[in-house]
Amino acid sequence: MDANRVSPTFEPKPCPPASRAVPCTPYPVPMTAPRVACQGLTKTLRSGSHDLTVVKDVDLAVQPAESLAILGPSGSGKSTLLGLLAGLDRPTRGTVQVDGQELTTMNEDELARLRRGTLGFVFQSFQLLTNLTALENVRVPLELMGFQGAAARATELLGQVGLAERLTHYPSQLSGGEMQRVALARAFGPRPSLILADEPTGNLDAETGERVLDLLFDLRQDEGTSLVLVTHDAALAQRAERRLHMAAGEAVRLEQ
Amino acid sequence: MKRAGLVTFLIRETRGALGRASFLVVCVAIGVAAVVTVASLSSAVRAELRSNSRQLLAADLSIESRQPLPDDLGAAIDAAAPDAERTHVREMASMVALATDEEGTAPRSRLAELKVVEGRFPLHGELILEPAGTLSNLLTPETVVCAPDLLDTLGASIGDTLDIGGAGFRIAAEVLEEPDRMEFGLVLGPRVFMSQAGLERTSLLGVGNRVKYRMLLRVTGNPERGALEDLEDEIEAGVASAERLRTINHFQAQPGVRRGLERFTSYLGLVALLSLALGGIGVAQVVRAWLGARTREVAVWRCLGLTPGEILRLFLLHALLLAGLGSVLGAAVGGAAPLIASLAAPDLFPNGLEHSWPPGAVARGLVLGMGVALLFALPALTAVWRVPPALVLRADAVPLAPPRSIQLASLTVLLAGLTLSAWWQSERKLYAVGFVVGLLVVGGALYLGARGLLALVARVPRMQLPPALTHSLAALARPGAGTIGAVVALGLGTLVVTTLALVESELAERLDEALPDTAPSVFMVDIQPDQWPGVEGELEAVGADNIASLPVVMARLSAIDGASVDELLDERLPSGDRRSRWRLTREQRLTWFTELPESNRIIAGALWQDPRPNELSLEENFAAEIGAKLGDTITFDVQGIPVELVVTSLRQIEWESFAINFFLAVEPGALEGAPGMRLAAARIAPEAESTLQDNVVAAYPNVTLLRVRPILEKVGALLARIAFAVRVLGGFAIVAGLFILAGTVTAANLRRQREVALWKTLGLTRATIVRLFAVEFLTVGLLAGALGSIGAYGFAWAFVELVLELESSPSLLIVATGLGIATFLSVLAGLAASAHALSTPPGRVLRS
Repeated sequence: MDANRVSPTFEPKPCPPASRAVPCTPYPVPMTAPRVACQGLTKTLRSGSHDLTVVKDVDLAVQPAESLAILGPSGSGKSTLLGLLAGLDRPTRGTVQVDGQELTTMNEDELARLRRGTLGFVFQSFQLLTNLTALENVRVPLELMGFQGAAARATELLGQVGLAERLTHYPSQLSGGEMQRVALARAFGPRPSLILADEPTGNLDAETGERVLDLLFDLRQDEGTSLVLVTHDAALAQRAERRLHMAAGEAVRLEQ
Repeated sequence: MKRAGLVTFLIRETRGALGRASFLVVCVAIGVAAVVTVASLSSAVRAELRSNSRQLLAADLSIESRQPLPDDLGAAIDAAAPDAERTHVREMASMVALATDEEGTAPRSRLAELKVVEGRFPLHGELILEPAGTLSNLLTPETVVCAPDLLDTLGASIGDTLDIGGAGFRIAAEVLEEPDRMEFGLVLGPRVFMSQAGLERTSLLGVGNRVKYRMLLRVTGNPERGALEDLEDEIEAGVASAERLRTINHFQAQPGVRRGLERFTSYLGLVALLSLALGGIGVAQVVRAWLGARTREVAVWRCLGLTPGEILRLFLLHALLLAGLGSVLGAAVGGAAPLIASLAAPDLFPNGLEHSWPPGAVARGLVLGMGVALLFALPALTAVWRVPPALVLRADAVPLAPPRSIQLASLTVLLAGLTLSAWWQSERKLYAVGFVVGLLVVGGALYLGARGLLALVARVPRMQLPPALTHSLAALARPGAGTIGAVVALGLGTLVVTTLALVESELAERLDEALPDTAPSVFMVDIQPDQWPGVEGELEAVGADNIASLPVVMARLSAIDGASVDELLDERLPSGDRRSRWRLTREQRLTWFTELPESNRIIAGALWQDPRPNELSLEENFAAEIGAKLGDTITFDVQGIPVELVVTSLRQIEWESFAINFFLAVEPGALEGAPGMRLAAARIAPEAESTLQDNVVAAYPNVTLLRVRPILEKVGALLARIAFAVRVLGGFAIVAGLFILAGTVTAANLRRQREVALWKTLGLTRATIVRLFAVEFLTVGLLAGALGSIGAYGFAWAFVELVLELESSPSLLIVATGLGIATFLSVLAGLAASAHALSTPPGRVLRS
């Protein structure tokens, strides 16, 4: 783990070629700094009269363009860990950095702004906005960043995930697999530095799940996005470059 | 977010929760309808009442004096009200005789009250003359217009000639109705109208005639009371010897009408305010429920990168747009109130269409509607901070705490805004603050009560209770149950509705009682003491009832508590206090009675309990104005003879009773032998009036009979209008309030679906589930209803006693009904909300 704590040298984050007109937020990103890293991350929940330590003293780092699977049985704290890494939850102890910025010292507003365009999410239960169409769901993060060509980019992405015919459908009119593909398009839209996926195939049947995973990894490849994937499925975890095993809240072993 | 996207988003959000959106719109619409109805009806009624009270004075302002009006008065009026129409009036007594050709017979003669008019009279209202016409047409230097009783007394008819002050006048017409003839006590005889030119032909302008000089003014532009009083001050300021003048404006002309109007206006303000608050409570609850139903979505927004503040602004904008729609609807309905009223009761509101949709009222409704909706939505929306972004990952994610500053800020804004709205509506800072403080107190009590209930319920498992009861009570305490919010909202709603019902019943009752059902229809003045038994006999002979009679002795104040009146004028009272100065110098009327008249109430001291024989009882405001208090010795000049009297009691008089009332009353026997006369009032059937007139005139030619039925009927009609409006508005507000309450309870309970599905899956029958819920709703209803109703008792008592200035005894029956209805609504609406869930197969709910 210590190998990841290298003193960084800085270089401006490269902006993509002009043909893909995506907003570019150049801020100095340490070149060798991980996309996301945590040290001694701990989360304790108070349940009634006793405490429950869900995540215990976890260190990890995910490099740019790297994919990491967090593997473990249910109750091992992997989803909680994911939430902590994304700033969706606050740790009881420890530190988390995304693109070199320390999350534990930020307030809710700063965390929200950080998430815009930097992080993309794919959830087990899809978490689409039910009152918006597929196209509008994908547009939301783009519009949040003030991106001018949001509609075009959203249409393009939905085409890439094979939903060109479903642009104006509502989530209630889509199947599980289709909803997850919309979620993928939404997650990748703003070209985030990091995608966080929590059991992305958990609510899908095997065949649909496979297709969704293919899409996920293909898109990741094209964009060079880092990926942290939480799953209990060992086979799924094999598709990632590294795997972190968790049990009872602790990081047990890391394998390549 | 981009504009177009925002609009689409809002439309979608609305469509997705049509029920809630509609309820929000309706809540605001009802509140705004109440505000606009009140404002538009109030201006309609005010206009009607104003035209009536002006008629009672026959002008807007009357400036009078016992001495010729000062020369600088004209200039002062020119300066203050250059466009005002003026009429100069002189009133004096004179003997009037029928000119007869017969030699040797003494001409029949009578003391009459002359009213010499220079200019248009009356400036408001009209005299009913027979044959029809106006004074301007009928009065020439050679003609007069007289009251029918004078003609009867003298045996004259129209066309005959009267001898007045040495000149002859032809009778041109009879005056059947004089709208401004209300000062009964000062009447000396029947009325004769004469022109200025006619007066100059007589020898009446000599020495020794007691003349009352008046300047009547009709001011342009319908000023409100405050503006008229300012005008009075301005005019008096421009006159050097202003303490010799007395000015009255038409609002003071008839106390009964004035008080009725003031009370009505206050009541209207209360109704509007409470309805608005009720609408706000409905908005708060529906926003809370809405947000509660969108928790998952809010978490996704947070996850995608919206800050809580941005999410709040989205919801707030949404609420504002819906509130705007509701305000427009409410203003449209409320503004039509005068029109509807005039269709429903054409003789009560004849000018309905003119007064509908007054722009001021509509604007007020729109602003208050959107403002109050926003104010009440804000605290509910701070729950946006509570939604943890981690909810997207974990359903049991712990709710976050909103920043203290945000919570405090939203509550502060709510209270400040509510106080401002209350101030705008009630026009008195004190009432606004009192209202908001009252709401806070009751809201606080409800909050504490709910907390107490939850604490009590926490002990429930240790008690031996039937399982259904145990579970229901425990369910109250579960997180996310919203019990506290439900209790506070239902309790405040009950408070509002019950207060409305209590105040409405008390006020309408009072207005009904004030209607002159028992008020006299005839007054008789100048009855000599020895004539009274005979006159009384005549009254009884025509079947009169409510016969009241009081003696009158005229006197002047000489000294109060050792200080002479002159000293008092110079030292004790500032020169600006003209009304009080006039009270000191004018002629006073003293009476006596053994028992306190019905319309009087002793508020200090005791009536005739002192062993001293010369006790005096003063009306409280009169005593304050002349600077007298209990125990003071007041010296009177009774027709040249000094009499010392001691103040031993103070009275409060209900002037609306239309009975004969006196500021000054002495102990029977104290003014034994003093020269005076009697006043009498009685109620007789209209057919009997002429008979009484003939009989009395024949036997007692010096007695004047005044028929006041027409005037009292007008006043009675006014008060009937007010009572009607009170009932209608109160009823409307109560119905609307109940509707909002029902919706509020429903909104809070729509989340039961999942719970019901789970219960059914676990094997509970619908009947059992209903029982479970019923206990929950019953407990909430009882707690909220009890605290709300008790609070309503306090609110209603405070309003009626302090604002309306009436003795208050709120109806306990209504209080109990309030509690009952709250409980009933809570159970009914709660079950209705769960009804849909009860009939849905659980699978469908659990799958989604």
